[in-house]
Amino acid sequence: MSFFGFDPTGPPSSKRNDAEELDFDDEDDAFNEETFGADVTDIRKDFDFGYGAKPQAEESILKPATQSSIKPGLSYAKAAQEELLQPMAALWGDSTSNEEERKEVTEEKDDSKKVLSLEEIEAKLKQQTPSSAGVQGTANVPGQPPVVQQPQQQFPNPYMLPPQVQQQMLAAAVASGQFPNMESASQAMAQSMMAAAAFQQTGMMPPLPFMNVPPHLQQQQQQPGQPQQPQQQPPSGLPQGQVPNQPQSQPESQQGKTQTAGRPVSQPLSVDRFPPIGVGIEETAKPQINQQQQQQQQQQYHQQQHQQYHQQQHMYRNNNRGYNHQQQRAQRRDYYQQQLQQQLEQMSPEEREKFTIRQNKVSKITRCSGFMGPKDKDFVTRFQLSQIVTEDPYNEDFYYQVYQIVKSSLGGATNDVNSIAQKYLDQSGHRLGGRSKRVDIALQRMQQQVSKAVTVAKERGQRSSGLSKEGALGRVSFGTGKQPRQQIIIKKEEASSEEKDDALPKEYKFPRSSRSFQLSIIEDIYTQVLKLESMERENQTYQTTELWKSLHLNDKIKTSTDEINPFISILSFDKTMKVFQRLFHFLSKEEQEQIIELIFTHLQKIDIVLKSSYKNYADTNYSIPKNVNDKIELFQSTIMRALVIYIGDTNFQQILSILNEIISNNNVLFLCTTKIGCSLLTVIISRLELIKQEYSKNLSAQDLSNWSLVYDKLFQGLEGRLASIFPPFFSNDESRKVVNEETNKNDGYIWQFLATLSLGGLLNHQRIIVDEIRNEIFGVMSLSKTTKEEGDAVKAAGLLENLNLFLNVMGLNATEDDISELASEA
Amino acid sequence: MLFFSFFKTLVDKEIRVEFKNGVEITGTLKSIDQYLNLKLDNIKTDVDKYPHLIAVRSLFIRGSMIRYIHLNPVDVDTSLLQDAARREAIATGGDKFAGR
Repeated sequence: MSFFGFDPTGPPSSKRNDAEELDFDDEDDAFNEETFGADVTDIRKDFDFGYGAKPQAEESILKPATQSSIKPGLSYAKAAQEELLQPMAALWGDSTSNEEERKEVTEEKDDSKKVLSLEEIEAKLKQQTPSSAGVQGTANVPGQPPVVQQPQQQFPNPYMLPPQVQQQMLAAAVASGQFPNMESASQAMAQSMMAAAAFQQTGMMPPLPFMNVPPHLQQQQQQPGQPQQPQQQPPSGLPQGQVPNQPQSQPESQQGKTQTAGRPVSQPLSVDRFPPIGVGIEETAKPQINQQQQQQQQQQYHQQQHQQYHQQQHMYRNNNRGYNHQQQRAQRRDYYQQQLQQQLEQMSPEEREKFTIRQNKVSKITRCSGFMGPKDKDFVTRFQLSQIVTEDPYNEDFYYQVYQIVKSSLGGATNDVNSIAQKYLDQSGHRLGGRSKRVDIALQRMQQQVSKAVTVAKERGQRSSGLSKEGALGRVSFGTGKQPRQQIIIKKEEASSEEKDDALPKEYKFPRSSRSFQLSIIEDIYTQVLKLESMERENQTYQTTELWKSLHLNDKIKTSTDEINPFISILSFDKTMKVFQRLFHFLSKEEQEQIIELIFTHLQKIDIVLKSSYKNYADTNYSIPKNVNDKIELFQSTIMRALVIYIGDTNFQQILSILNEIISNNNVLFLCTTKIGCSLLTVIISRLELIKQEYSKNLSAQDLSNWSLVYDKLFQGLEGRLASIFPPFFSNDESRKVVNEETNKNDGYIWQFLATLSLGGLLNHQRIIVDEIRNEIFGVMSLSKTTKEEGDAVKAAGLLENLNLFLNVMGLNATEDDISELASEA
Repeated sequence: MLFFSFFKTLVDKEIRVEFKNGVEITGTLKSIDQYLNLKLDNIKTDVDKYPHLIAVRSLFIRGSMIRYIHLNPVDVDTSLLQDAARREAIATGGDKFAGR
């Protein structure tokens, strides 16, 4: 009631939201909690208190009936009745907010109802009965007691509702048809009494201009037939002079203004509830008399109640803390509303219309806001986070973590908790910082949440994820954040007897030449590599023995035709090629040597080398299938790259021994029909030649003679068939020439090979080479000529350039028409 | 958690979601959770077919409603994805990694 200095404008939570701002933030919620959470307890206390206050009880019966809009104090009965009145409210122009209020009110009532246990009620009733006689007079004064009450001290407690009065009221109420819908009028009354108490405490009364228009007058206006009316005259406690206090004045003024404004807009509670019609008249006409009456009555009443007053006051004070608090807030609210009111008045009708619409929208939006307090939100957030957060991000969130690092390789790894908190803040609806927009605070809070969530997640992790019951056929498994879907729980094979018996690792159970065996080896390698990489990133020391074992370098697999090393057999898998460099760098120098040696020794057994020879495709016009070409490219960019780098770092003797291995274990001529083989030989020979020419001082005569021995061996393998290293699609020899989609690719690698070959050889070697590929040379020259004549000078030059790579080694130079000695040498 | 981890990297990227009921929606992925529920922003769809979506700008999609998600290949680091898959397989096999 405004009388208590409360703004009656309804329940604290959402109303305030409406008015102040549309912020769904934590801050607001904090506010909400303050109101909701704290208020609940307040309500309880107040309620006790209120219950004792009989005058309120009466009032609640009488008044709500009259002031249809006074929600808080209403009993359900009233509420029901109010429904009937509602259309009227709508007429006054603000039905929406009204409705809203009503809802809130119902809530409020629920609250207060809940709060009071049956026992409590009983106890109260017992306490109160003794004084009943004295109260009789006041019992029927509608609305008076609240008027009298000055929340803090002046309250002259009329707390009792004597049974007779109750009955009177009851009878009256029933007679008036006031409780048509309710189970029974008595129930309603009990409720209304309670409600009234709550109402009183929570300050939910509309700001009635009590000074001017005593509530019962309004009652008269609205519900002339109301039985309580006659009883309204009896004494009403304190003189008005005692009543006034600060908060009270505000609602009053508001009221006045609204009334003058003639519209109850946006002051939904106070104004709408009040039919402005006629009030003004009454206001001026009756107040004086009424006040006098009231004063008298109240004085009498006061005396009667004096003793009780003291008793009750004690109780009252106990309940007062929350009350004061509320009062303050109510004042704030009042202030706000006042401002609003002023604004409203300054507006033009259209503006006001707009404003009203906006207010309605706002209240629609905020209707359901604020149900969750910050604690609730924290709980939910924590719960969500605990599903997501992990103490082990690199195992469970590897992709994301590494992706972020890779993507922002500059930023480096940020604190994990921070990033999760930030991320979550960004993604969730939490607006940063709440009302004050303090980002750091929000972040801080979220970080706390995350660390809490981590703890929760840890604890939960220990719980087992399945429940098995004795005799049950299946197991109950619980979905978790990490495995949201229920999974079939497969009993792990008992790793016991069987496996111990045959001490073979599982990959040996596959047929050893099978694809599954190869794949299992590859996966093994990957596992080891991943583990080592993980350790490397953590700067731990690591052992490569496991990895080395997984490579199976020294195993042999017997196939029907041949014996093959498992490692060689897997080299042609794309994923092996991809992992090669990653594993290569973990190996020690000796291990690298071994692995390189193995590869070169078995070069022609490597599937992809085998397949890259043009000889395989004689049937299909020598066109190499695309997947083979892709593999060749992959091989070149992975394994061959590693090999070339290795060769670049190795000394003369080692390279020589490698070359020797290749020549002794492979068909060199066949290797030269493959791009891979050709290129590798080129690299090796040119490296040897380079060392020989640049660092010859470091080489012993033995080394040099070894080199020429090996070279001779190599040359012998090629001699007489040199022309065959030209794939037909690159050949310009008219007799072999084939045109397919490969033809236009760069054949530079062949000329490079020939160039290095002649570079390593003596004059007679060179002569043989030139002799054997004479047709190719002239073919290129003529092709270049025709190409140039056709206008493609660039291509022609390219052809010649490749040719001259080779010829220049021997001090010759070719043009389209002629081969001459190089100018510099001449 | 691999898919969750993976989709987290696609936040703010454009994806196309194909529902089990055949509806296809393209939009910017705003958020994803461990159930692969999605939040899409700025959605585009065939409004001739689905006129009820004409006014919808952003969506929350229950993960179980999704049949396919079409991705832009450039947003995916396949080799990393392979590693992540292997790691997860290894880790669920009980062989946890020490660190990253």
